[in-house]
Amino acid sequence: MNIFHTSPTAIRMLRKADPEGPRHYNCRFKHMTTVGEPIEPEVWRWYYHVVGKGKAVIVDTWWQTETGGFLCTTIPAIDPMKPGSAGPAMPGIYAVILDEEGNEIPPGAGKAGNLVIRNPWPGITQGIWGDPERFIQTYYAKYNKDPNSKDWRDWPYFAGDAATLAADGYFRILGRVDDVINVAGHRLGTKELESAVLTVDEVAEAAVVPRADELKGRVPDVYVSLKPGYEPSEEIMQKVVKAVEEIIGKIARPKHVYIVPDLPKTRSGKIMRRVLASISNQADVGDVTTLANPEVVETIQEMVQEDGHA
Amino acid sequence: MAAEKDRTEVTEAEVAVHWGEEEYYYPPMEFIAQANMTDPTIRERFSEEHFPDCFKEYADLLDWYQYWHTTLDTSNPPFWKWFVGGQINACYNCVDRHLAQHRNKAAFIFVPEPEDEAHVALTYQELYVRVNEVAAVLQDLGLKTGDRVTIHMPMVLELPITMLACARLGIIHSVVFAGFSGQACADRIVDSGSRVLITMDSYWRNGTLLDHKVKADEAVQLAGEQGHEVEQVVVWRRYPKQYHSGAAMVEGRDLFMDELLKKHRGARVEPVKMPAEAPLFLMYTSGTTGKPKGQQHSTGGYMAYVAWTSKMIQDIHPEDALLVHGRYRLDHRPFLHRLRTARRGGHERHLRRCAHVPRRRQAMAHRRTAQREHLPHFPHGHPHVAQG
Repeated sequence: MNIFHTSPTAIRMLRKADPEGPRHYNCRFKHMTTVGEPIEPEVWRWYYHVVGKGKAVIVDTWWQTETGGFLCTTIPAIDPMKPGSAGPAMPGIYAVILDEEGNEIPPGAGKAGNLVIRNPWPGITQGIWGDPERFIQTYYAKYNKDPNSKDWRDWPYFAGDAATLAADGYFRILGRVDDVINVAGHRLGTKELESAVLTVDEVAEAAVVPRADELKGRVPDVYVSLKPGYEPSEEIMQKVVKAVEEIIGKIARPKHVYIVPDLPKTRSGKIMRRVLASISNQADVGDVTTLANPEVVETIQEMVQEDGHA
Repeated sequence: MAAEKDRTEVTEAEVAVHWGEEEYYYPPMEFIAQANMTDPTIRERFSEEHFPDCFKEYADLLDWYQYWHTTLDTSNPPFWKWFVGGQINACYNCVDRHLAQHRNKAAFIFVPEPEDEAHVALTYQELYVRVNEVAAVLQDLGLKTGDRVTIHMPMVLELPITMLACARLGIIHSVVFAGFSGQACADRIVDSGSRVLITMDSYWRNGTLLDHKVKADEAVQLAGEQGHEVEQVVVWRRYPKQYHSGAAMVEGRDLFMDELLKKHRGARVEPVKMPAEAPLFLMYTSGTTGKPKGQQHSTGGYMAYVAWTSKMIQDIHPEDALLVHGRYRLDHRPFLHRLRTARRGGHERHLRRCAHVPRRRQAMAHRRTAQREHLPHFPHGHPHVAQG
């Protein structure tokens, strides 16, 4: 095997299970892909140095089921890699960042917005089976100004992901637009917060979800699991809070940090932030029987409730 | 003027950014020297003034029965049509076209659970034979171009074989992740209007042979409650002739694939010449709320896009072996480039095994040598490794 294709979730699980192990494996990849969600810079560096041994290129691709293929990525022999950034738009993909009102946020502005593709491309979905109206509403209604126009330039594709565009043309994905947490009118990307939490050495995996707050509207709750050999402690919690305050700012200070045995995941390994958000807000978690680890949900619920009474 | 605004001030229409800039890491010279795409003018060639004709370069990686007359038809936005007038078959591009030169190269290396079960290398020639036989079965069931079929199967070789057999006939396949429930499967059956469900009796996961057919029964019943009748349930057996499910086979509805195949040994089915814009497959996005959305992907546009991106971004070469750790989506990608793909399940136990690629690599090295002399491929022909 010389090409490795996997998800950040799988990489985080591997890093959690055996952070030093891959150094000793007799494998030599030339190329490694990550797909499915953005990879945090800390995890990226581990993947690069420990799994790839500094010799494999990584493409951190941004795409969706809808897009049929990669839309933002480095071209591995041409563009340098940048941890945490997917890279520039693919050839023939004209990607921009628009704010909620449709104004373009220029490269290097230091602000994020909605990732939008201005043009159609061959891999794009033809529509939602049996529901053309839902297709238009979901992906095009937001930025289309003239529903009668036959000019593709009037039909920007709204991907539903928040992102930032650096001066060098690299896109950094911040997570789903729905996952953006609005703290006192300040919109924060969950991926930025999770990236900050993952700079804490002891932390293996992290999920950040919004908790309703009377004063600020929403505040972040942080859930983490630890690498092997570490026990939950007040000190680790403080480190997490400090990391968020230092890297993101005081505005993002977590309301709670919960150190849990494992994060609830789907059988394909995706962290179920929705379940954690329900727990944080004392809402019904819904059907969790299809999760890979349903038992952990109850454990976390108990922890969070106890904390609430304390 | 936007440029004069205070850069640190963020309105409610924007999202704040706090993360600092990260340093660059450069690709090793060794990688660059062997890379498929090194043209620094590539983005220029794909700039807006060359749109949409620049994408001809993507489509040229495929074999067409007939070229298109219109690269992009925008007459009904946002329902775009690519390569209109072109005729193509996805299965032909993934399998048949590699036979002349690579029939004996491994298309797939299946790494089964349990671990002591031998790896299975399937050559392009063998893949061709098996896909044709399954296509003959599908035809015999009365399925035809444009019909939808739901495939609820684990990550085993029979999954891509079934998908490719559908593509050969222009049957629109909807693959549902095996880990999903009977209910989730039912919702997708109903939404796609599938009259046939293809499933498997059982599969291994974390040391247990799971009963999977039971989910098919649930799915058919739940679909029925929504007023949709599944006429036929075709059941692959993880071990042919052995049935490992507590769910009884329903007379007249349920059929074993291994038995159906007996009638079609050695069958050959001509690939159907499909319009480029004909749907190839449906892929449901689950999302957390609302009804799942059946994303409908085209034959020509989709295949062209994945052919180019897997060659240039994943840098797949025919002699490479790709380890795919995760679940199947519609992966025609490696096939497009005659790639040998290793497929593994997505859970932690497998991850650890994956970490042990070293042991496996030695086996692979032997196999690779063998492949140079004998084995098959996909659209650019590289092998895949599968697990289930």
